[in-house]
Amino acid sequence: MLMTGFGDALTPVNLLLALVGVTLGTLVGVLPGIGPALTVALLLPITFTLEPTGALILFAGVYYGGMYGGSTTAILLNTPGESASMVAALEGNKMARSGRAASALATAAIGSFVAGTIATILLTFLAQPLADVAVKFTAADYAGLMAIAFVTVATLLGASPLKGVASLLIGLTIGLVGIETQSGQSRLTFGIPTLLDGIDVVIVVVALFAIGEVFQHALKGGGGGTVTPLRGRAVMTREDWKRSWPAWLRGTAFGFPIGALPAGGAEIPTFLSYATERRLSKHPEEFGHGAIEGVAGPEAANNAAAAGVLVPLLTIGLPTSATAAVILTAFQSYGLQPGPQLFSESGPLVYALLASLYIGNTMLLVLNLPMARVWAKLLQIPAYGIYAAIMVFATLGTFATGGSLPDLLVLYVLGMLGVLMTLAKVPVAPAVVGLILGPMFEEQSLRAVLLEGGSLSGMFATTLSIVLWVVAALALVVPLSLAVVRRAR
Amino acid sequence: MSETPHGRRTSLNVRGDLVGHDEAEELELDDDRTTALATTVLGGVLLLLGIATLTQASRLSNNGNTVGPATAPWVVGALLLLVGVLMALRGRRELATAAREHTPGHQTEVQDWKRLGILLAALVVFAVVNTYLGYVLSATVLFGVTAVVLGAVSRGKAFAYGFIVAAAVYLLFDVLIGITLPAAVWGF
Repeated sequence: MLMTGFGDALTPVNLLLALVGVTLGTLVGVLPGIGPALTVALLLPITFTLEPTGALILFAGVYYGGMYGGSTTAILLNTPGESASMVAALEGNKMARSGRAASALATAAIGSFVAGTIATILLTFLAQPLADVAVKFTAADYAGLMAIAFVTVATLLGASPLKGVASLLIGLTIGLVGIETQSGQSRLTFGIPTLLDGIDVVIVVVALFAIGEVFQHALKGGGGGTVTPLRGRAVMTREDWKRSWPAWLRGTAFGFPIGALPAGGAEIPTFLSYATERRLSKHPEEFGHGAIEGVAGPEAANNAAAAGVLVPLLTIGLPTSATAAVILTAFQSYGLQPGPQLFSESGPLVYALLASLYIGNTMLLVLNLPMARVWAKLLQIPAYGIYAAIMVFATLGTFATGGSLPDLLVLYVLGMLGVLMTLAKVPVAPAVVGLILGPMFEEQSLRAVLLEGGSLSGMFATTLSIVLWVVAALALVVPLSLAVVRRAR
Repeated sequence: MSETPHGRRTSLNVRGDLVGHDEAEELELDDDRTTALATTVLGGVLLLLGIATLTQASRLSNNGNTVGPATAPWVVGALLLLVGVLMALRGRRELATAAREHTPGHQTEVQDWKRLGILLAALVVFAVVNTYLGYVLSATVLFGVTAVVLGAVSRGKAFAYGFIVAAAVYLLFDVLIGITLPAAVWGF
């Protein structure tokens, strides 16, 4: 199947699409303040005119390109576009400032390639068997799975469990807006016609990430960061290799499983990888001053998790990161519904997508080691220019999905909410996940209850659903009680 | 909350514990006065959202079933109230802590809020005029104003770059990809 996928992806047109995808993805992702989720949301409209296979191939390129671009910015400018590349910025920017930007970029690029490739291989082999299991899931099982996703996304992403839950609730509230599908009653629309269809996830992502980012930049007094100049090509010494490769593999080992479980995406594995590398390093004194392991591990973890997140997304239809939520919307706009049926109904398409992940990953490595200096040049565009362009692009997504005055006002109101969240250090990603999962959870729960003749026991109709709810409860209680214990000490 | 070896009260979390105190501070994972204030305000916003959602829930009908269209708004609304109160309390507690300690770093000033106000006004103006002036001109103005507010030195250049960006976006997305962007009587 994968070979057929490669056959589909390796046509000249599709290779060109993959090239355009990784280039555009890197180009946008490298701009400060724009993380992968925003990159895919901003570039989604360009895929609308293509047929599904081409669109997916272009989109896969954008996804991986955006990830790569984000780490370049983190290293050279110390402005990570999203929390998952924060840790890479910690050591990477120190390396750049001491004149080792080239090795930092190289270990990030090669590490991303290694981790991305291993993770994509695991994804290829796990996806079909998991989808076969997922086909048998009942509505109650789905509801239980989503409960786990809610809890882990809210408590593991960002500053504190309370703030994560606040973010999730904001997303769930936005998800309630619109006409309720079963009964046709409108909810939280306040008599505004444009709200009847609900609020598009792309609008929410752009508002919370892009408008929020620009406004927060304005509040911080404008101006821009200091770009560390890049000399020479992105190369690594023998010593760099020796220190990097174990970190890449360990990072992958953290990233893929945590990304693949419905457990909150890429952020935690990068922090875990950093902590592990610092503990295992033969050069602990270098940490905080630019230790190469501190870039290699977290970057690998980040990319492995990005591929891992595709496991629950493709096989169960469950997005667990903001980026995955946008990808789910992209699939739906191509007329595809991620989930177990995707493999039986559109198998060739899935394998074309998987094949294009391998191709995109390889292209990025080939493209970016020599091109690193070009991307670094982009960072010399003054900050005001970049932020002004973000404002222009932010409104563009609204036009692609309708674009009336009320639509734009919805975007601005959510943008202001985004500023407030950023100022309060409330993570934005749980809101995006909540927005997508909320309506799905409601639908599955109602179905589960109806199947038991309207009794609430329908939520726990299968053994699996009971197990899943117990796991969700533990995931909620254990971190909170650990925090209490830690505070008491 | 825990006492750190540095003697400062912090409200670090899982991530802060993993990377250590100094790194957490560098990553700005710990909180300051602005964070505390914003947390309080956000708590208030959540309370209002909670009230709105519960009001909505009371007007929906489950058609006699245990669960239905009204269930989710009831649950979400109640949780919004609870978390809103907790956030507001936490924000107030942190405000008190921040008042006792002098936290260094950038404090938001009046001119920063003014800058934010101008940006918001520019966005609203863009939303209102784009159907009359067309996408290219309105986006040029939006770009120019944003760039000037955020520190562009030459106003002329800011608007010139704005025109280039707006025209490029129009050509790519409207002409090439086929997303209909607003056009004025002169066609773009």
